[in-house]
Amino acid sequence: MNLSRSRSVPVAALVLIVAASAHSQVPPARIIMGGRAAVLVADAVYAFPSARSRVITVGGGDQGLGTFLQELDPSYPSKPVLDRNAAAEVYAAYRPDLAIFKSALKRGVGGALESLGIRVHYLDLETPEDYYRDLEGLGRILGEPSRAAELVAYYKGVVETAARISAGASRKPRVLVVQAVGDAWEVPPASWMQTRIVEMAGGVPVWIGANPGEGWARVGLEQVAAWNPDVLLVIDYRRGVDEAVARMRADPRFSLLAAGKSGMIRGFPQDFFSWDQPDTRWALGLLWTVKTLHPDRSGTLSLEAEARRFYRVLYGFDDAAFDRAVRPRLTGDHGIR
Amino acid sequence: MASGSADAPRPAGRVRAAGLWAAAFLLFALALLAGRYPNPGFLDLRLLASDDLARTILLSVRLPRVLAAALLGAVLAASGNAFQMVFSNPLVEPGFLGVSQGAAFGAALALVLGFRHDLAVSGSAFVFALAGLGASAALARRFRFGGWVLRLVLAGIAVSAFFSSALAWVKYAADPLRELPDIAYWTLGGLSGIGWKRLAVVAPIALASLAALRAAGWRLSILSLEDSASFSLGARPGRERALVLAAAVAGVASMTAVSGIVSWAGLIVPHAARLLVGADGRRSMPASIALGAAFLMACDALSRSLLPGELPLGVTTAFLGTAGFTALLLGRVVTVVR
Amino acid sequence: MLEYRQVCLRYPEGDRDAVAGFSLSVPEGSVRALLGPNGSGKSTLLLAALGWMRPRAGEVLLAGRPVSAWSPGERARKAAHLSQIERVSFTYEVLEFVLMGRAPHLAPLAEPDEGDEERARAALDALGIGDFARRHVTALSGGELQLVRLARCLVQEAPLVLLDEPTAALDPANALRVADALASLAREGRTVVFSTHDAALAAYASDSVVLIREGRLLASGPSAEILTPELLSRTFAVPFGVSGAPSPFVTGSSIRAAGGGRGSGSWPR
Repeated sequence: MNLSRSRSVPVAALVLIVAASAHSQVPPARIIMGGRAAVLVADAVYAFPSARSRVITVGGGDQGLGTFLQELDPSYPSKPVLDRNAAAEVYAAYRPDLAIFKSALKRGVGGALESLGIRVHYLDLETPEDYYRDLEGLGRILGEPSRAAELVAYYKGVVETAARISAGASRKPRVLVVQAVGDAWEVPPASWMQTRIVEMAGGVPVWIGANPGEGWARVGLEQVAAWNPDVLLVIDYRRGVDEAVARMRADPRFSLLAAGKSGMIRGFPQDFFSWDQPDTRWALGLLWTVKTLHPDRSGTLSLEAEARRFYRVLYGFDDAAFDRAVRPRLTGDHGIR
Repeated sequence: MASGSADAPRPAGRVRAAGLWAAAFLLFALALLAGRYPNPGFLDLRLLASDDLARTILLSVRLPRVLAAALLGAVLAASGNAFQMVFSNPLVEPGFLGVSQGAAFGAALALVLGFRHDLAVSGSAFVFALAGLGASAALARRFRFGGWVLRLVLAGIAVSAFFSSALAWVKYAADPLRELPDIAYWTLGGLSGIGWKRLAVVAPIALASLAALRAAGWRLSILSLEDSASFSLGARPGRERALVLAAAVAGVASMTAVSGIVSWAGLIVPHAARLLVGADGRRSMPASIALGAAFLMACDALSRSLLPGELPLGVTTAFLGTAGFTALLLGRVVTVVR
Repeated sequence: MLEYRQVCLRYPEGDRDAVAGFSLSVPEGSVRALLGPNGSGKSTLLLAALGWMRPRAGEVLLAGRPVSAWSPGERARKAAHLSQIERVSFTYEVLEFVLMGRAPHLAPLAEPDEGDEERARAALDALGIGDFARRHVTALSGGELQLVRLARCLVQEAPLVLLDEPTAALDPANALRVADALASLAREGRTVVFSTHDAALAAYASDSVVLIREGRLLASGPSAEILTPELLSRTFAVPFGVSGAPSPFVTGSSIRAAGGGRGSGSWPR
């Protein structure tokens, strides 16, 4: 009797350990995403093909979000659409076994779901380092670690390409990135992806120090003139960047800036989403920026080829799919015909 | 009994009034020279001869902006003075009858509905500002208790609260990436993007409003009396009040449509003007106009020059306004008022 | 000048008539006192003469036409009204305040000129408060404000002057000053109707007295006939007798009685 009891404990423990590790190795079957910035999360998660069919719903009924995900998952339109501000209960009603949110939602709906016993995974996705880490994390959770490694290698390769091109430049161009808001312009905080992109592309972000806050900060035209950057990159999430750039070029006040005189007012490209954001497309944003800043040193860099490669690697688009879905949506000064 | 500055001679008031206009012109010049190009501080005039960009900045960026600030300040102060006299209440300001909140809601609504064009947003703000006034007036008429002042004030509070909650809902429903920044930019107030084109659209209305309020200066003193008194002096209190308020609100709405919500100026500047030149509308109205213009030119210059990033105009007006007003109150001998 | 014909007046929130079946004719150049207790309708009658209240029945005629038929400007040039109390919210100077009385003579957006200012000063001097000109109205005592308001009323230069309890807040000296001012108005040919509950003032300053109780005319006639203890007791529901204290309103000493003995514009202070 003593012998059987003393042996049953380690046996039971072994069984439990095996069971636990087996459980964690089973990929989640019902995934939900949502909340604000769901687009960033969704684009990252959908880079893992196995996850697409397992996503039950993506909250945040933003028009653009659905348009792209539809391309990757034809059954997407039939999936329920939740409100961007849906509460934890609504998500829980779908009985997910995994919820993926931006880390900002930890205190809100994420925390609420955790307290309901649902597993929640958070992504930061603000900087390149975040991307490496978050992609690896997603690989682990979704049971596709090799896919994660492939993606991380892709991104690191892009960063190296940019570094190589910009390394030999004799002079670092002074760059200003502005978002057109109404009649004014705003600059991003120093910690955001836009600043990182400019730095990685071998430019000097002139607006560092002008924005102490956590969001976009307004600057006047005078300040833009005082900085007088060599290159002015324009973002417009609302009207379409081509219109904003055309307005600026036609505006006599801008024509006297260095960037205006040298024709270096450029619009950040967009397809489904603008390439400047910490969306998966930041790689394209970086490549475009380095080509714009160092045109003479990036002769071998074809933006079109890189765009096709991005969509092929990340989302499995072949040329026909790219021509059908992505190319017609391209705006900005991408140079792709 | 009576005490205080009982027999201050009238020339002092005239001198002060002239001083206010001088201050306004001086501030106009200073504001034109202040900025961040090429360095933070005042522009070296010699640069104008050699630097194309400096000339452009002065004429195409600063000049319309300083003029807009002057116009905005003048309109807010004149309307504030008119409101305070018409309501016989020194605590009201032009926006309180649902005008400010209505304008903010109108702008936000246009943005959320997808109208990106500035004219649409400004137009919507203008329309809803007037709607706020109309709603307050209509609501006040249906109340069954209290004098007209109480009824209008309560109606104004209700309408402002309604638009304020509607605005909160619009902000909640707005796309955080595409629409919310525009809305936030609008409600914080500022003259960042103002150019000659937009100024030319709103300036006529604002100037007309100022002219009307200036002309009505003395009449406002009469309207500030109790209704039976102004009636016995031959006024039609209700109708004249409505006309004055409409003129005031038209000016405020037109400028708010391009500048967003700028509060405090309409409340504090008329007080200061009255403290300096006397309460009579003939003097307090032009003084409000001059002081309002000067005040807002100063605030806008600070907003755009102090830091690389622009400060919201409403923040600067609140700081400077309360500081200046406190200084003014502390510095004067206050008459004992029954 | 002013005529009430079977006038009934009721306040919007009232359930009874404040004034019922009231008829009175006030000829030009006379001084009428409306004498009655609080709430008897005196103020209401004056407001009706101003046009501020519309009669529920009957009509009020001002210079031969119904009050409502006059445009506000014309009416203000015909009749000036002084209410019992007035709240002033802004620190106007006394001279500015009195100057507002010139409004009916100016175009809607016109401003007063030096001529108007002289008239305002003269009105202040006539009431003996010429040195108030630069003081702030909010710094005045109740009585001083009353005099200033009266000056504003006078500067309106209207042929009919309606005053609601003009001496209510005044000390004897100022009350006498006001009473004499009323009398001098009448000497200029203007018509004065004032309400009061001070029988002595009524006797002193008016040609004839109208007794009002509960919105109805009780009696009307020369003060000597009307101001009897019996009638006064009935009017005020309180016994009236001879007072133990002297009063400034000594019968027979008013300038009307004396036929204009005292010089105008230099009242004793």
